[in-house]
Order: sequence, then structure tokens, then C-alpha cells
Amino acid sequence: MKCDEIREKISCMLDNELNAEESALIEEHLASCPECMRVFEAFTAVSLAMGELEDVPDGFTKSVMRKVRKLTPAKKRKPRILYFAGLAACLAVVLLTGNRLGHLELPNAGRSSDTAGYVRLKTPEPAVNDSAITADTAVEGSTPGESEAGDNGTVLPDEQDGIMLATEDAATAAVTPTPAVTPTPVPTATPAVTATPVPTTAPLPELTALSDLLIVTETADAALHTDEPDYTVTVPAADGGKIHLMIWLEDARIYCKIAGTDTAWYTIGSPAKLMELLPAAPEPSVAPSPAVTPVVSDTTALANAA
Amino acid sequence: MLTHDEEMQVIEQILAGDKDAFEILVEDQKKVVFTLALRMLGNEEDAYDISQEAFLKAYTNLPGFRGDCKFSSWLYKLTTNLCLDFIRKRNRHKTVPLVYEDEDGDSEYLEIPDETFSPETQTEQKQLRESVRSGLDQLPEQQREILVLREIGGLRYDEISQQLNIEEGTVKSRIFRARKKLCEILLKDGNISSELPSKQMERGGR
Repeated sequence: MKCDEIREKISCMLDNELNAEESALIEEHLASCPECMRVFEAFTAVSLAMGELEDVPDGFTKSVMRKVRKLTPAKKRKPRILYFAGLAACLAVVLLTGNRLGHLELPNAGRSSDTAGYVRLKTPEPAVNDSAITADTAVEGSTPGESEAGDNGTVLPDEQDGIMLATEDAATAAVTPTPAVTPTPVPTATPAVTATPVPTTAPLPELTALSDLLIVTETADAALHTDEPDYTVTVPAADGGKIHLMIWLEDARIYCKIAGTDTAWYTIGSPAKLMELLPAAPEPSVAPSPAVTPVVSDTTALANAA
Repeated sequence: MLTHDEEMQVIEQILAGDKDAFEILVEDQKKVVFTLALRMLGNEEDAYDISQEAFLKAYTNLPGFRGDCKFSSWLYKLTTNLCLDFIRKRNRHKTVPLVYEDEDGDSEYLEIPDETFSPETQTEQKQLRESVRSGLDQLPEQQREILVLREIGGLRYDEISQQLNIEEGTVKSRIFRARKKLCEILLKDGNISSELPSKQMERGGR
């Protein structure tokens, strides 16, 4: 073994990651190689100097607990996949039927389109007027068992006005009463997205890229990303609320979180694909006019800074 | 320190509505969390704020904690995440361009002059401690993170691998590189062994 390899092992040995046999070999080497011995001493000294714990200032625990008592109690969460499956199905349907796609905007701080920092997916058609029906459908649609994306996906394109979106609370409420139901497999949203002919003028690749955001490959730790998201996607809901998807692009994966919740996941899409599909933009964005969507204003600086 | 089972018991209690039980976890982990933050951030004030935030965040995210690792490991990772966010924001304000760590920036071979890291008196010990702490500030973020998780959090390689979502082999080499780099920084800055002849220092600093 070369000395540099030995030194990596020395590092492992300090961390108790070597077995007795390996350790014996290293010790043997150390006895005969003063240079490696000095590395061993250096690593040990640094390790000791670093690892010593500090005294915490007085009142630390009291201060934490005072703040904790002001928070709502931490409660066990509803089954995540189920909740999300409902939402995914709903969103996929919205994306597909496309009646109000004009509302769906992807703020794109680094690569703005002509509309000041946004990519507009579609200019809205004159809105259909039966929003009352829409709201009803939304509740039915997110009932477990009926909320399979495939069903919705095939039914709704005919109905044209089927906005299926409920806010997070509505979606949760619709889903929770029957927690015993087997979670709808989330990936079922995919066929709906790719297979159904889409009656919309929105560019399909972009829709696919967006709906990819909703396909969970892996649920993720909600604490993983806490800084400002790279993008947010805002979707108006049937009941007048809004759902904000926060999106962080990692090296090879896209991390999504529903704002204000701990529901987070990795999506099936890749950052490269998403970026590729988004219309390329001339120049770094101007701040978006607050009139367009207030939601996004706080996320614009983000990508520039990142 | 609580065992995994003990942690889970307390967490059950909290999730059943007993907020006060959270104090047990705070008391158990505050020293480690505070030290982690201090080594990541370099000053007590920020470390205090961030460790407070870490515990609050742990509390609100507790329902999402699946128990497939120790609560403490999860908490440490949450803490270093907050620290990294904080550092990035701080860098932004300073308008210093964000430097992406170049892990291969370290030299091939680490050469350490004799006696450099063998402090004998208490003063020397203390001096080394101070130097190590300021040296940490110069370590690339990624290396700093993994080193504090190991040295302060005391996480095993497999636990780090799980928390950082990287291969165990990568954990091993990254920790090694971090240690090497830290030693190099200490030698280069000369705040480790000022009595050494400068020629030897240069050689060691490369």
C-alpha cells in the first residue's frame, strides 16, 4: 500500500471504521514510517481539538420551549402518499384539460420570457362559467377510489371545464375520511399525462415537464431544502385558494414541496429536461410586476443569487 | 445521550400531544447541536440562533420523522442544512461570488513537519483548538459539513452516508480529504507551529 492509501485508512481508523486486522496492518506501518506517524498524530490532534463540545449559553432550553409552546402541537400526519396521490391526480387533470392553464405560471427568474420573469404556459381561453359544477366535481374527484388519475384523465377531456383542483386543505379533507383505502399508486398519473390527447393549446412538452413534477419517485425529507426555492408554480384551486409548489433543482434531481406543508418529494423529471423544455429567455429577469401574481414575487431573486 | 429506542419513546409522547416532552430531546442534544452550528458558522451569536431554529424545525417536522435513523442523526443533518443555508445567504449579502468547493484542490501528498501537531502544554492545546476552529472556516462547505457530522455529531460512516445521500466510499474519501485540507490550512497559515523554519513550512503547506 502506498502511503496515501495508508493515510486514508488512518482517517478511517480514527473513526473506528476499520476492523482489527486492518488496524493492525496500519499500526505496523506507522511503526516503520515516521511521516505517516506524523499524519496520524496530526489527524488525532485535530480530531480532538474539533470534537470537544461547547457549553451552551444559559436559557437555551427555556427559550426553545417557550417558542415550542406557541406552536401548534406536532401531530401525526395523514398517509402522505394517499394525500398526494389525490392531489397529483387533480393537478394532472388540470394540466390536461387545460381550461384555465392561463393561470398556471412558472416564474423563471434566471431565464425570463417576454412577460417579465414568467413563462406563461397558455393564454387563457375565455373562462367557462360553470364554476359551481367545477367545485362539486373537485370534491368527488378527489374521493379515494375515484381519484385515480386514469379515470379522471379519460373523463375530463370531454367535459372540458373540469377543474379538479382543490387546495391542500380541501384535498386533505376529501381524502382523510377513509384512510383505510389503499393509496392510489402515484405513478398512475403518468399514463394520463402522456397518453391522453390533450385538448389544449399549451405546448405539450412544457405540460409534460410540469406534470413530471407531480410524479413521485421518492418521498423526501421536508427539511432538506429550507432556503428560497428555485421556482414556484402556483395553481389556482377550484375553491378560490391556491396551491404553491416549491421547486428546487438539485444536480440531477428535482425536489418539490407543497408550500406550507411538510409534503416533499423527488420527482421523476430531471433538472436538465425541465430547463431544456422551458422556453429559453433573452436575459436575466426584471422583477415581475406584482400585478401578475403576488405569490411569486418573493422567489424571484432566488435563482439569480444561487 | 438517549438511545434510539428512548428517543422514539419520547417522540411518541410528543406526537401524542405532550409538548413538554420535547424538552428531553433539547436537553439531550443541545450541546452537540450548538457545537455543530458553532463549528459551521464560526461565531456564537449565529450558532445560538441557528440551533434554536434547528430545534423548532425538528419539532414542527417531527411528524415527518420516520424513525429509520436516529433522531439525533436527523437533527444534526437538519442543523447543518440550516447552517449551509445561512452561510449562503450571508455570502449573498457580502456579494462574494459563491465559490463551489473544489474537492480536488488539495495537494497530492500531505507532509507534516515533525512535532507540529504534538502540543505539549495546555496553552499549546488551547492554541491548537483555536487554530483548528478558524481553519475550519476556510474549509469548503461540503468538507466542513461532513467533518462536523463525524467529529461533533459522532455519526458513523453508514449514518453519514444515509444523511447526505452519498456512497459510503465517498464518505470515507471526503472525510479524509477534509482532514488533509484542514491540516494543510493550519500549516499554511502558520498558526500551528510558528517556530518551524520557513522552508519546512512551505514544504508542509503545499
